[in-house]
Amino acid sequence: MADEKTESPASPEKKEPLFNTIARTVRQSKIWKSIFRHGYQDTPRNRALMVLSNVFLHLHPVKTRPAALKFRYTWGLGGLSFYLFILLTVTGVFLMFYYRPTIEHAYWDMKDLRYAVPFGPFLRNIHRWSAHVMVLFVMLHMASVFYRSAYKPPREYNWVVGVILLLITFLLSFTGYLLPWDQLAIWAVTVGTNMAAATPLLGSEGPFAIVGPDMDARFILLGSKIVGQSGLLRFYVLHCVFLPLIFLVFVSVHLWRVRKDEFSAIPLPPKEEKKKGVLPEAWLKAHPEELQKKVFTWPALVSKEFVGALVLTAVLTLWSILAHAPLEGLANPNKTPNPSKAPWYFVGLQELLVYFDPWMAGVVLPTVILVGLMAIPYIDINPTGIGYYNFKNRKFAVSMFTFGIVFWFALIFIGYYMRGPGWEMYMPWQAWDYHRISKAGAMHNMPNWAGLALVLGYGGIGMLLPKLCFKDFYKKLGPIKYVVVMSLVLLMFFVPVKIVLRNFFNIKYIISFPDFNLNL
Amino acid sequence: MSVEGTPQPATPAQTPPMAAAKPLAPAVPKGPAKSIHQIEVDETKVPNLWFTRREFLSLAAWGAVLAGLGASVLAILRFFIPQITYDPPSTFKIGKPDEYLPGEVTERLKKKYRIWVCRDSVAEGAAIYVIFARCTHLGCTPNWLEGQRKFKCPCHGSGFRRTGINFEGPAPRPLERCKVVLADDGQILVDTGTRLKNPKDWKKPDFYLKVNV
Amino acid sequence: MKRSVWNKLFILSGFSLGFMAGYLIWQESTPEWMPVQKEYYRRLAQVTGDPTRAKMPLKVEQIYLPQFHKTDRCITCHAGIDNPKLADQPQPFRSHPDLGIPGFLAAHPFREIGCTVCHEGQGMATTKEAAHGRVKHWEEPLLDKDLVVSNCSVCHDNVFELKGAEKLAEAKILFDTKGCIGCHALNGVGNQIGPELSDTGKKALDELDFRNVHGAHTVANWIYDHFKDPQRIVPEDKAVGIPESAMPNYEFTEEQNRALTALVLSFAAAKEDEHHPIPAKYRVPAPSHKEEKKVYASKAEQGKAAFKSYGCTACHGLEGRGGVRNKNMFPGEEVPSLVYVSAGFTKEEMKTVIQVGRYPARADSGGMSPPLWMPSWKGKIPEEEIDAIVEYLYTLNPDLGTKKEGQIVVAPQQ
Repeated sequence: MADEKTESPASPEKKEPLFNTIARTVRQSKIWKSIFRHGYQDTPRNRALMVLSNVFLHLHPVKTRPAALKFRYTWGLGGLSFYLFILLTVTGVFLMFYYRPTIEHAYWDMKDLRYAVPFGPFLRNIHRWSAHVMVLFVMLHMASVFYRSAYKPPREYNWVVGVILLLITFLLSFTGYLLPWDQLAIWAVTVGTNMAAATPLLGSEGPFAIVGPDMDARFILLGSKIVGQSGLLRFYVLHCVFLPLIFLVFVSVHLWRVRKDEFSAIPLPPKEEKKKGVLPEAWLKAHPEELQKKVFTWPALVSKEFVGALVLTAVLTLWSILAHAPLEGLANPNKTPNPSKAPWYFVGLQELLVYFDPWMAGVVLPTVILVGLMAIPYIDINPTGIGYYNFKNRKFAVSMFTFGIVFWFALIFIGYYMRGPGWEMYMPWQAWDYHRISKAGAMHNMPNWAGLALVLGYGGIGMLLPKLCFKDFYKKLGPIKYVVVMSLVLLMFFVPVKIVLRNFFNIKYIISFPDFNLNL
Repeated sequence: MSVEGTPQPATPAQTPPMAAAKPLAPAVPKGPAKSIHQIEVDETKVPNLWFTRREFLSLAAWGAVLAGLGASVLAILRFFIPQITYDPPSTFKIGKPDEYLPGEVTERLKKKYRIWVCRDSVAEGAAIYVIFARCTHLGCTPNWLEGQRKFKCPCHGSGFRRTGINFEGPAPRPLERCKVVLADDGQILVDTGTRLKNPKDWKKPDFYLKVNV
Repeated sequence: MKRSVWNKLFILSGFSLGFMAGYLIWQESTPEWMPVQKEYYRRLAQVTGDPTRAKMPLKVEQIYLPQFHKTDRCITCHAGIDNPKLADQPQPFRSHPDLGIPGFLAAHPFREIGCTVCHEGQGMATTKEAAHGRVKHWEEPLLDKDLVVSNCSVCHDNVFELKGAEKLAEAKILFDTKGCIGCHALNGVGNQIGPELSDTGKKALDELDFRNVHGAHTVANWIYDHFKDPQRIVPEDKAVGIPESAMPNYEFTEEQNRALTALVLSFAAAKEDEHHPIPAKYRVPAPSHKEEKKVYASKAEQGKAAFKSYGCTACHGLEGRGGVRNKNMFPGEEVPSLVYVSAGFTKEEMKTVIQVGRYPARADSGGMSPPLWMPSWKGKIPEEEIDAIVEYLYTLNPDLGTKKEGQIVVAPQQ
């Protein structure tokens, strides 16, 4: 090959350093050549081959638009999430060598990992902390994609796949939560799986239940009516085999589509133009050649990804050295710790449980959130903003999404830092008082006629008012999309409305049909 | 239903579904092979078919495959609902009625059986009822606070009166009551597998054990 | 970000990763127990005069006892525990003393019963702090030496006749004479005015209020402090509606307090662990005694004995002289004396009160309900003995039948 020739020594008279001889011999050996199909010299051809001839780097395109290389374009969140998945798989497989998923042994295997397995504490810590970081990064990745409008055509489907990946990430983390079999674990999972029992129709304690406690959704999850041996085994299999496999399938599709649909990164106008108020779309129309400008992925992007992963690993390593993963007392199904909190990413939903019955807070709202997220690319028909922040032309979409995500994290903050024993409100700096008496007054239900009138009025006015006030908005969306958008928005604002009713008017239920377990 | 691959210019609207009952005829006229565009079709002579026998078989096969898949999904779902569990038995004896004092809530069985044995005071008739120690909100185990004479759930702060009626916090309904009867040996027999949700049924004889003081 | 920033990040994180990897390996190769075990072997070589002993390989040692579901790694540091040659060494090298009980060491082979079954602590841990259980989320820390006796009852059925457990026997005498079961139940026998005692020793820490406990937050410390001053540990809490502890302050001596603490702990230790019962070969059954039926000179004598054995004295005092405080009770904020009871009640009425029980009236109707009340004794005391008690109470009145001026008597039930 042409590349190799240039590597041979220039003249036989000059004595070649030993190191060079060894390197040359190795590089010219059959073994080396059988593995690496090209040289390492910095030529365009090699840059292309670097990606093309490597199955792992092949996830990338050979060339990328320069805008996608900017760190602040993606914040590296998607790539780092995937890296965390790999890191978690590796550390998780290691941990499996010392872990038995039985209620007899699970907790004590944790103690062994902590005290007797070489590097056991480090492995468990980094697994735990990486999991938290992954959940956070996947959520932030979603937000970053939203604000750059990267879900707009042609990337709608990939956004949906992304939301599915977000769900699987939650489930992976949640199933892993049970495995240490300590008090923290079983009570978080008890709270979580009892939400499943509140599913309408298919949960034994949900509205219009058609199945008993030994046939319902919780029973399928746990293989029993209580969190016990069969539940532990099920969660173990889900956590270690089933969910990672599903994740792998979807993440493959996700990455494949990123490559096929390309980064949304479009070339942006230079600063002078931007100051003049030229929109990127208009500028691009005048400069179509800009779209063709691309750079080689290797090394421009790959090196940055490498450094990003390295920095993250360093941070996680430091964190794992400094802080141990929590391990509380042995699981005791008869003793509920006070307070019992769900994993932090579900604490927002747990906080909603104060205001709504489980079927609403634990089943309907999360489902609507997920479906609503998936629907975003199909109901947001505004074509502007792809590849850059744009509030001016996306006021409605950006403000609704921002409200939702801020509300979500605010609920998490309140639930995680401001709730003490008895789920009483405390300021984050206040000490908990296990003997504090609840200040909450007696609550009452609204009469059903008033409640129904309120709900129908809220829905009706909410549905009609924007149509009358913003005719353009309705016209652009058309009736179906309009109804979907408004339903999601109205439902989202219904949550704070109910919080206000409960907190300031002591109203427990707006509508209450105890015979059907249907309370709102 | 439009059938691909057959040179039928007829739109589905022109082919009534009942046509399937008509005698089947080959769709393509026999003769030397022609390009599909060259085939001349006499509109009036087009066999008025919904689908051919071969297509019917193929459709039926697809149907069978889908039915099989559907059945497998159901079977898999059923597979995850075990017929037996290794949960502790739900029926047990808890001693004689006079071990439980009128007007008191007995916490000592909570650890083992997850129940409270409550007894009305003498003025109320001294009947015994058994409350299942599982919060109706999300299944945590509440505690009996003797000082405040109420059950309080540590998870989300639901409070229940001695009767099990919910009066504070997010719990949607009262605590459940277990079946309680007197066994032949004079001991109280509790069945935590049979529980009452609705307070209307609380005074039912199998759930409200009347004993003489 | 500029290229130079990426370069700096690479160099920084690369070096710190390398450094941290080195730190982890160093940390893993210098565990806390290692110098201790090394010192043990040095001393062993010195004592035995065999220098090769000093060069024994260092490793985590453990006693694995699947029958107790315990793994005790204590002997990693306490390596000389069953080597009598190290009897004079300081902790943690010394051998276990025989406690002055002949045959103790032979009967308790440590490699077969482990350490934590008696001493508690976290057997699986390999650092001192964690192994001694003085860490969060480990609720059975190393027991104080004088309380270890409480765990004799794990295997021994009748600890009160056990050599070396004299303390428990003394405490048991106190337990009986003070009439503890008058208010507390023990394994279901007794009353529910106070909490059941058979699992107090195994309570979870968050079930107890430690706000006024001195010293470490352990169940043992709570019990000990509560014996010392019940009302300090459980004061009245008006906000929550918890009355102050109804338990009288008996003003026990320091030694009695410790012994009673050990006794309460031993109740829980004696309870069989449902999931991991002690195997039969470890159990030491109590020597069987012949049940001798006591013969009493009179019915009143029998009543006197019953009055004591059912714990009536706890509230009503020795010989019914009364005097136990009962806050907010009408009249007198005291449990009534029974001396003049014959003046206010017929025998039938008294029998009814004992059988049905009664709640005292409140002195201040807006205040807390009095913490003590007369429980119903029906089914707990055989009818024959209730009759005897009534008979006994009738003998207490020095001037039979006459109501004395100014004396507080129990008013007949309305």
